[in-house]
Amino acid sequence: MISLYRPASSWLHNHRAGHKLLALCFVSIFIFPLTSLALLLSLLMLCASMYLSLGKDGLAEMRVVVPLWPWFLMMLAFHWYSGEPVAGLVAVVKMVLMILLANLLTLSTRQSDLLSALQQGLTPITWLGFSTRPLALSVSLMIRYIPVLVLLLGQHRQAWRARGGAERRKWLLVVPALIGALRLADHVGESLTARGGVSGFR
Amino acid sequence: MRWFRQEKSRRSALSAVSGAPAIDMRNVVYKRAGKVILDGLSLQLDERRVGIIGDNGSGKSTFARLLNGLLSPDSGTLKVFGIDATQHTASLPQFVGFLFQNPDHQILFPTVLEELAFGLTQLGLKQGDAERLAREYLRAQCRIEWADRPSQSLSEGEKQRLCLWSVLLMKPRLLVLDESFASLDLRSRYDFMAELNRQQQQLLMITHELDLLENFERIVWLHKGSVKADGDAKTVISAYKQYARNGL
Repeated sequence: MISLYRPASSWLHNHRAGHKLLALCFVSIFIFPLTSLALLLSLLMLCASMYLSLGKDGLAEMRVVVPLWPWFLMMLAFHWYSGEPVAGLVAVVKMVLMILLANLLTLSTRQSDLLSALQQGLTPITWLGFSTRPLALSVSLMIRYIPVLVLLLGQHRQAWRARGGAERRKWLLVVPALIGALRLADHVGESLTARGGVSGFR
Repeated sequence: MRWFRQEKSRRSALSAVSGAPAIDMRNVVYKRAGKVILDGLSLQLDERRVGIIGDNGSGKSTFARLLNGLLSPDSGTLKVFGIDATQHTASLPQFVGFLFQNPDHQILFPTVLEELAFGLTQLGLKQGDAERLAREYLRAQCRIEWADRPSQSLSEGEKQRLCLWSVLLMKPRLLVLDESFASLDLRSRYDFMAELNRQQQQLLMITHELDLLENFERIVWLHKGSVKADGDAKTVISAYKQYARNGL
């Protein structure tokens, strides 16, 4: 759903990971209570202009929201049925905006920088005697592997089509996709263990 | 500086066990879901280059995984550089570098530099210092232009090389390769082997590519979780080839 890091030297890439992560947190908190469609659409335009500032490739990254159209349609239908079509539009625009902003963070921030920023952000839990590295590494790896899982699902879909599988029975892919995801998790775990696990040799 | 101090202390810990053989296993048994995978395996391996051969399902990968703590034996004793592998599983990866069959299963980070630097941060180095050393390493390999490349954009051979470098940067004493040549074309295979031969580390290689093992000091043939033959490359490989053609 969200993109992997795209190496570049844009203004967004040059900002510190911690600042971007904090900004995302604050913007999310600011957006959450908003009900004005006009204001949300303005913010969406602002977000689109940030993508535009990254160039043609950056703009193309906005496509991440396209595969989610069935969810958006469902939300709109639900609100329309409840007699609140505008509230439905507000909810959809909010969701699109949040996904696009999170995507901006991951495509412009290296995973290791995100890991360091998360570790720094989680410092308060060290006061309780917990180590921040395992948690930060888990979150950072989770972000890293979301697109890999999407790719995996795509491969299952291709294998399904190659053997003449019907589009309407695509739901049958849920189990193999889940098994594939578990296998991937096993491999990631092994690779991590082979290099000292989540805590390393500190 | 802190890292270099830690590294020095790690090295002195290494020297404390430096007299011990690389691998010392006695009556090691490993079972999976009740099925015996390794059946009372006893081996002492200290040669610089050791090859492990055998059919699929003979226990080769299980054997390799025991060496750097990915698995633990059900019974028996296993010492790696004098360290009890059953007691200190978590510290084994410091001494034993592991190269998986599929590089996509090994690479954790999206860019080459991050992947290389990760191992160094695992050893206690700060991110900035780790990246500086990783850049120096890439420069020494004449591949500095790889630094910011997405790891997924590398070819299979390049990915496997990245995995090797990531492991080598952690300076293990033993390098274990679990069929790491399987996805490489012939040219990449020979290039990769040449690079391995230049390394100081002891090498334990599991492979079906018997020609790559011709100059190895020792070959162990595993069959159904036990040692079928153990000796010099020429004798063991020839016996294995004969078995492959005619059966036991």
